[in-house]
Amino acid sequence: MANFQLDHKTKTDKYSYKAKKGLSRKLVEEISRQKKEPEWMLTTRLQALDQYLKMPIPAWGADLSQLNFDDLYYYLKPIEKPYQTWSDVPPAIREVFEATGVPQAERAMLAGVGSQFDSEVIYHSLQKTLAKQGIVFLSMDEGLKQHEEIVREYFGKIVPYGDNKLAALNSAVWSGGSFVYIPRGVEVKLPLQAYFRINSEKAGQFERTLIIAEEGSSVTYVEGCSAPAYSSASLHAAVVEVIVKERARVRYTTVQNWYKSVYNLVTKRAIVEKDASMEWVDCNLGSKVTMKYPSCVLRGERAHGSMLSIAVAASGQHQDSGAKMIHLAPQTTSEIVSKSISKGGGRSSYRGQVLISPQATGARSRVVCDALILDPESRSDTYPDNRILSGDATLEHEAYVSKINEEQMLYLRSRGLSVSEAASLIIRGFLEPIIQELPMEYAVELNRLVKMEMVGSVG
Amino acid sequence: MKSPILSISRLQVVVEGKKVISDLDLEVAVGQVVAITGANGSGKSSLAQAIMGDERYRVADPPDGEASSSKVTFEGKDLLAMSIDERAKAGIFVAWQNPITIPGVSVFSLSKSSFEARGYKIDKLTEFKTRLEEIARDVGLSKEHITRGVNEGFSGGEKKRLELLQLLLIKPKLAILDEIDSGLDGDGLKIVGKLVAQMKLKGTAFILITHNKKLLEEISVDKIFEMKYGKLSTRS
Repeated sequence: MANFQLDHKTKTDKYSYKAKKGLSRKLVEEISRQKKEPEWMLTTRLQALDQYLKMPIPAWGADLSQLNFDDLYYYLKPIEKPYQTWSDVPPAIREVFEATGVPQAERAMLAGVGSQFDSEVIYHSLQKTLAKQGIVFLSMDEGLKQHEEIVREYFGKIVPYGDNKLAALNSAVWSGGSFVYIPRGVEVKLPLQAYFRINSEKAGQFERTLIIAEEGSSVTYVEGCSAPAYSSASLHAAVVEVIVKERARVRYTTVQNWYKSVYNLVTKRAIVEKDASMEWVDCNLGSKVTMKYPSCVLRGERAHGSMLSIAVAASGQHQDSGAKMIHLAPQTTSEIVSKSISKGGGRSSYRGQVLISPQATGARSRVVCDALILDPESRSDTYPDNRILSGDATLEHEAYVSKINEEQMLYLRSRGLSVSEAASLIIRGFLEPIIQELPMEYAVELNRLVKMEMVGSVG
Repeated sequence: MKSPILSISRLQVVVEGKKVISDLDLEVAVGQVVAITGANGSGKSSLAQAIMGDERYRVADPPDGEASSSKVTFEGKDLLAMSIDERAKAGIFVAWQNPITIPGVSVFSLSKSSFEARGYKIDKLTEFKTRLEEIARDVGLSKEHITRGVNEGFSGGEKKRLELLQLLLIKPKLAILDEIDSGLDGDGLKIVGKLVAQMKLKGTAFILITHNKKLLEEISVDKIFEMKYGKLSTRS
């Protein structure tokens, strides 16, 4: 069972390479050199670095003023190459992953596993039968080595480095992440899982993920994130690019439980072709600040995009999350269901955009934002940006902000539940529509985390 | 009379500054079935809420310098000092007049939580589920109701049947059925009658609150009181 608790802290100073703090042209060149990358990738990295230096830190959304970009390690390489059996992984690192339950889960219910420790993927596996079907599941670094043409065709095409400052940063110093390729017509029944761990203090993790689902294929990709308790800030700035071709279906599920000193600034985007479907399921429990708005560019007729999200903002946390649905073709449909809980002075914001272009005739979109605020110190805001440029499209937007219902509390307490038991049951009920979409063991884990988070927060 | 399980003397209750129960005395013995009738607004439900422990139904403050006259004991213990959930754990169950809807919380998880809250252990979840399905059938609900959110999309009658399901599962020492008959059809009333008779034999005491004589035809009642302006008088 996945266990994303944060108390397991391993001091691993045995890095095979540890860059000095701070970002420089030299460092970018060194990363590329160590990875033995093709010239075009180094060029891309350096262009992205220039772009990064030119762009201002976003002034909208969450407060990033406490994040000192010069006080971070941009490249921490624990080992030279990912292992394919857990017994080969160095004990100090293996111990971390065993505590998280990843190897056990792999045996039980996963088609493949990737595990990243700071900057590099340290373990990677894929069931042999799947590899025979032509499915590729590698670390992004290995993906670039083994399938350079495919990577070159898509890398940075969905999220160009000029998209935003953090995407530029990622493009300059990216390391690790997953490369997934599902051939035409292949349906992957079990999920592929990636597990990301920031283990070092003041570390930056910049994984890069590219998923390509060919026509009529389907895949579920699940990622979990955690980090031990450190007082100084770490940065997680990932970029995820997904291509969902005709009639293909991709579901991308995230359970994020970074420690509350991590800045989680992530760009995720999918291109969705004709009759294809892209589903983001996004659960944000951890981090100090999250800014993340997974997007679907609905490019083909009848393409569908959906986003189901949970955010829990406790003391000292700001979860600024949402989604973007860009309708570019006729009969495209999208749905955003965002549920947030704010407590102990935490702040959650929904920030979302639905754009229905003039070509998207008959497009439909539905947005539901549901916020639960547990105490007067906490805060929830909604920033919807809905634009309909097509005459016959429909867009529904519903937003609710509520407190825990007193009558429900009374009813449950009259059945013998204590204040906190009653509150945690009601909160679970509130999140249930999203939790039921998670793989079983993630649902169990999420319920457990939410319960832990809620102890003593009501009454 | 057997030893009282519930003993109320000179109870005064206010809600939002208004007195709704004044100088009420009542004793209920183990396995005894007591009915309280009366018009709407006479204070019947207020009494149920006050015994249940709804904090909005407060015991009236005594005049300056005097001790409160209100006294309520349950199995000899001071009930007024207990919170609503402590009262439930001690063995009091109130079937609500208007049961609440709780979206996303299944009947199964409510049942499991309230069962465990009372200190019962569940060894095998599958056995517990089977048992719940049997009880559901006994009260006229289907298996499917167990997987639904609590009262989500339930009809008035189904909501009342869910209260009966919980009553049968929990087996309290004292059950207060507040207008259980409203919303129930003839079959439903028969189920209530049967269930009260069975549980009474095992020692459960009942307070039935109703203004409908039909229910009293289904159930053999030991004592009937009438409530008027927050006071009780014996009817027969």
